[in-house]
Order: sequence, then structure tokens, then C-alpha cells
Amino acid sequence: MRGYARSAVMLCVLAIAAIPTAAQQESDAATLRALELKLAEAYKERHIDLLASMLAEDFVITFEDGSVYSKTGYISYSATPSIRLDVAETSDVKVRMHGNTAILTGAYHERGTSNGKPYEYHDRFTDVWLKTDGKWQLIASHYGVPVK
Amino acid sequence: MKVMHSSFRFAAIVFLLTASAMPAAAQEREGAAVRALELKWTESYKLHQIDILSSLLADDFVITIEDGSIYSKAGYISHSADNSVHVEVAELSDLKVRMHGDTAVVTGAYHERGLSKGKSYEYHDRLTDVWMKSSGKWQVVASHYSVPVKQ
Repeated sequence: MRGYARSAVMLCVLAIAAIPTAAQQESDAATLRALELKLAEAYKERHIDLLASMLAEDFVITFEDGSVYSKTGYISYSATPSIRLDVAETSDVKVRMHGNTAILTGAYHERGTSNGKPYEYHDRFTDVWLKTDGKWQLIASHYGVPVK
Repeated sequence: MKVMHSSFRFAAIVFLLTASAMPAAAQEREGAAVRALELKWTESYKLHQIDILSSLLADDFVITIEDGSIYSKAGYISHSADNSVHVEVAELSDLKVRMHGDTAVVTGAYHERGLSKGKSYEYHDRLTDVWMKSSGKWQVVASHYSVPVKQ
């Protein structure tokens, strides 16, 4: 009987420990919001090493024009000197936690020049972050301009 | 003895190769399951099979559609059940599945054509869908469908 009771208590403790607390989820969500800002800043300022450290190896991104890039392709694109960014801002960001996977949706505004030609996007976006070995990395992104 | 040794070594190599190939095989199997679910989802959306659609979506599902509207599971189900929309074509192509343990990211192209309130419409989209496996069941947690802008 004592053995059963001890096992039951241990099972309860393990089960409770496995459930992410609301406080933990809130803390993760705050971390992810900060990472989104860091990502936009790294992209705008071409901090390529920082950008690369935030992307998972199997990262995939879909752009406004429908182009799909891997991590390498996106890093090369971000380093293109013919593109100059004046604005790269996220807003209306919502975080949905699913354990070690997080879905962030929101609005994104980008303005700049490409090959000397001005451009501007007002997007909706979905970013997918995955926590591995205690570190959040971006595994997928989708940026699209809403149709009228 | 020498033959025995070789047989043992051969068996050990086969075992090691099989063991190391198992995760890849499992990933392939899961990838195929997710692809099949993508087709099922598209079909149930086209045919307004709301029960099937509902079972494929996680409770905290979120979708961003072509006009930038964002729906929760309940909102998307209402949208899909709208009788004034008649979907004639709903087709996926160029699907790629990237496995990250119990999370799968699907990218691809989507073509939808139909009538909305008697008015014809057509979309040629790019899509990103995110699936998660929980208690042995895959469900979609997030989707984004957008029409590529012309450069």
C-alpha cells in the first residue's frame, strides 16, 4: 500500500511538472515578442550573423511575391546590397503557445528601395518558432499582402 | 569461427543501419500522413463537410486568408459553412513537408475557383500550414494563404 501511494504521488508530481504553467507560457510569449523585434531589427540593419543564429537550419519563408526561400537563400537575399530598408516594423502581434511550438501572427510594414526603386508593403504575417534545447528558433514564415 | 565472426559482424552492421534508418523512415511516414491530411482538408472544405473539417483543426487554430482576414477555428468553420459560397475547384500542388518532431510545416501552392453570392472568383495562392501531433493525432494549428504580388 505504501509503495502504491508513493508511486501515485510521484506520478502526480511528474504530471504536474510536465504541464507548462500559465506563468511559463506568459514568459515564453514575452521572449518571443522580443525575438520578433530583434529579428526585424537584424533584417533591417543586415546583422547577418544575428539573423542566421535566429533561424533553424530547415527554415522556410514565403515572400510577398510568392518566392520561397530556405535559410541560405533568405540570408543571401537579406545581405543584398541593392536593397535598402527604411522601415521594417511589426504590429498587432498575437502569440499562440503550443508547448515548444509558438505561432505568431500580426501585421508587418516594410518600406525601402530595391535597385534604386522605392517599394512598400503592408503585410499580414505568420511566424512559427520552435524551442529546442532551451533555445527558440524560427522554423517557418509567411508574409503576404492582403488582396483588396 | 571466422565465418561465425563475419556473420556476427554482418548482422551487427545490418542492425545498426536499420536502427539509424528508422527515424528517417518514421519521418517519411509522418510526412506522408500529413500530405494525406492536407488533401482531406481541401476536399472537406470544398464539399462543406464541416464535421471532418472541424476534426482536423486544433481548438486554438488560426488562419490568415487572402484578404488579410484572420479567423479562429469557430470563425473559419462558419466561413467554410457559408452556403452563399460554392467552391468549384480547390487544389493543392507543389507541396513540401518539413518535419520538426511533432511539428510539421507544409508549404505549397493552392488554386481555388468558385462563386461567392453568385459572383465568380479565383485565387492562385501560396500557402504555409503548420500541423502538430498531439496524443497520436495530427491537427492543423496555423495556416496562411496569400496571393503573390506582381513585381
